[in-house]
Amino acid sequence: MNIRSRSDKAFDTVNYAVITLFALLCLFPFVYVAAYSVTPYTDYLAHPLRMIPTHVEFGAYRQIFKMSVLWTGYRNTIVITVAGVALNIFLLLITAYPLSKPDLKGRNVILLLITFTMFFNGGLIPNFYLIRSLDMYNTLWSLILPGALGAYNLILMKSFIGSIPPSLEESASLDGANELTILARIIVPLSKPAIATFVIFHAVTQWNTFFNAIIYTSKRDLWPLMLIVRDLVVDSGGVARDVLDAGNSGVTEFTIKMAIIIFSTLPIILIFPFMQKYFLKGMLIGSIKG
Amino acid sequence: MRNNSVNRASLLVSVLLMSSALAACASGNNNDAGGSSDAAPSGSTASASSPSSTSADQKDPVTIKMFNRVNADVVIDKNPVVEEAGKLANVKLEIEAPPINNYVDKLQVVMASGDLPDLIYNWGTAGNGADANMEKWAQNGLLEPLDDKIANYPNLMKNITPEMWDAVKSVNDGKTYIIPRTNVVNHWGYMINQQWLDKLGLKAPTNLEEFTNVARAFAKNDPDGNGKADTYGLSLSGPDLGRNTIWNATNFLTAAFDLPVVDGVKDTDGQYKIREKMSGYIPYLTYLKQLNDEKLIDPEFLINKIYVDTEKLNQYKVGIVYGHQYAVLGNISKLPDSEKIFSYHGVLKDEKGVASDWVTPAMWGGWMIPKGSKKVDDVLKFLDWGNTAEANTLFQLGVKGLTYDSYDPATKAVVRTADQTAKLSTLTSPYMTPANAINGDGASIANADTPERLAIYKKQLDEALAQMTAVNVPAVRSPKILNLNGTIPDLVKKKDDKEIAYITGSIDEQQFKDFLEKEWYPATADAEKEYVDFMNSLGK
Repeated sequence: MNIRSRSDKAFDTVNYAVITLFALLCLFPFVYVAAYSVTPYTDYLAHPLRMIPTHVEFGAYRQIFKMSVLWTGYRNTIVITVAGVALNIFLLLITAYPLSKPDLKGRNVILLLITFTMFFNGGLIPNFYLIRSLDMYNTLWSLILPGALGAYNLILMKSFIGSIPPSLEESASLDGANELTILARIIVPLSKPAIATFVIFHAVTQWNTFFNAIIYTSKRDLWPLMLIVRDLVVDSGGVARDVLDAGNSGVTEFTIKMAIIIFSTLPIILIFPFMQKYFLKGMLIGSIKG
Repeated sequence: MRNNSVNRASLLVSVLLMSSALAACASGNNNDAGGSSDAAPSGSTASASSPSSTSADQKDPVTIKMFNRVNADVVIDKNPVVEEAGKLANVKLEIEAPPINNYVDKLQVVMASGDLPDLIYNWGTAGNGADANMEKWAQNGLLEPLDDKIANYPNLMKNITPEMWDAVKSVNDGKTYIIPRTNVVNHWGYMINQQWLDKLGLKAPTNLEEFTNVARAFAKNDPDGNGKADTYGLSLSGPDLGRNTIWNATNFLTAAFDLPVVDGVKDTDGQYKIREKMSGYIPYLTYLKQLNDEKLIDPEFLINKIYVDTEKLNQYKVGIVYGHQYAVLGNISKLPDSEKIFSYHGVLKDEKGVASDWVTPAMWGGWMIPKGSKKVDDVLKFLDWGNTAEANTLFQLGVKGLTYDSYDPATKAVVRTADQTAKLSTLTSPYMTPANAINGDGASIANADTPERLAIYKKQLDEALAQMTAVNVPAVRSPKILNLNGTIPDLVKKKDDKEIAYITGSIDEQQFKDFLEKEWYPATADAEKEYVDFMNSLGK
């Protein structure tokens, strides 16, 4: 027997329509940029919103593949993303696990100190001094270490681990497992959704890093991808134009900018679907009070 | 059992404390709140690696640490152009070049850190580098005053005009803290769709009447031949939404009303005034209203962001936009074969037949030297060389054999292979130049890479210059008039809105004049007096 009323169905229909519209709105910029990265500029001028290329042209990609600065940026970004995420997850686990123990001595003081950093910090110039004095200026470490452990994520992780039943740890202890074994064999496997979430969070943050690189590096071969992309794409004097002039390729500045955006965001877009199921679970971290 | 577990867990606390320190760093890593610093000038730290010298003619090259704004594609390390410059100027250049879009952010951090390079480029907000930042750094004792030294450098004195030196003097103490980076002189006019003109049997307009006729023909006579009334005569654009587009490089139109878009020019009665009191102000706005009423101007002309007007030109939606002598060839980057579609022309003539080409001191920021630097003379000597044709040619064209085969300075014709062209953009750019122009001219012209393009450029420029009367406009160093946006922002916004309201017909002329009389003139009287006094003090 169908117990759904007509109003329920109408509500669902409206719901789906709104959500679909919203999804399309989110998708629109990506489709727009992707389409015009392979569309001749003259076609774009004639039909600025058609978005379905009448004929596809990859000249812009051929041009940007010649840009050594983009490949250097890719290398740097991959290094700071992989190393940054690995360090971040390691530090999150070894910090959050002991802090999840309610009767850890000094726990509240440590939590207070950590929470304090969420609201107060030294500021730009002191951080600049700090990086210099630690000899991290002009190294990729300056783009990895300062963001290696965020207080907010740490508190979320602590809450997640705290929600794991203590009886699991106790039974492992009875079997002779020490704390590190418990962490590795019990806590980490049970924390996969949370870890996956923080991997995505931190990977995206690291992938998009640019401001720290401006302040903490002065060598161009240390610039991450997004810093280069920003300089190329934002109207500023036109590196894209230089590339165009250099190639004398007939590809325009606009098309090259579109191609650069796709080139730089593609990896993170491709990875996201594989992490999505963990991401959705992890989004609920800290949302239920134990 | 539980206590035992807790005890073991506490072993991890030491690692945790280390992690806390990292967390402290992390929380603030994206915060760009600036902090202050005592920023005591430390002089040049680069001097440790090389002897300081005041006459380095035959000595070992002096190391100069240069902080410059250079586009991202230029490779700085082991750059043959930089190495060649080092040989010619007998220096070892160490260039630090942050991203151009965040150059000011990084510069402020460096200046606050107190660990200053030997030579610092300041972009500035007025084009001349003598901006509020420079004034602040000079007041804080971070910059070396250069007045008693610059006269010893003949190329600096020759290439940098007295107007430029005046333009960069500190408004606080009248001293010179910046060596201007000279730029090419732009002769603003307009860029027009020549194909439309030819099709309609028209000529490029030289006065307001002709201009109106052309705009009307472009809007009404289907110049693109698609059978639709979907074109407009002209469009405008502005760098931001906070400033009316009608004042952004609209010299080509305002010249017809003797209304300069820059401060520093007398009105038709020979008196200095604020723009809103000038004789051409209301007539210019009224003319825009007429264009708008007749639908001869792009209906979005008041809200177009910068370059949107050019995009509409390239889309064959509008026929005229503002532009200078390099605009047509420059547009090749956006639309191939632009030189076959568009043409450049000078400003319109006024009622007396005079087309005023208001030329401001052509600068592109300037160079600062830290206070107490031991390399002041070495740096000035380098900049002196930088203001020669040799340096300008090197930084604009690159190294012969590597980025070009031959170059004729007289015609500016460059011969280079495709491979050399490809190398050029990774080795140098105008951003690299110590001076981007010698006597107002650059060594090369962007995209003039064929004799045909070069000929088109020269023909159009010569015709425009022959039509126009050059008016040299001094730099206005009158803080109050330059800073109205900061002192009376709401009223400036209101005035801008009133201008738009008048042009679009929301208020009539009398209502607009009432606003000016009752609110704008009283609020700006003090600034106007300072401005007029300053201009009169120049005796020009």
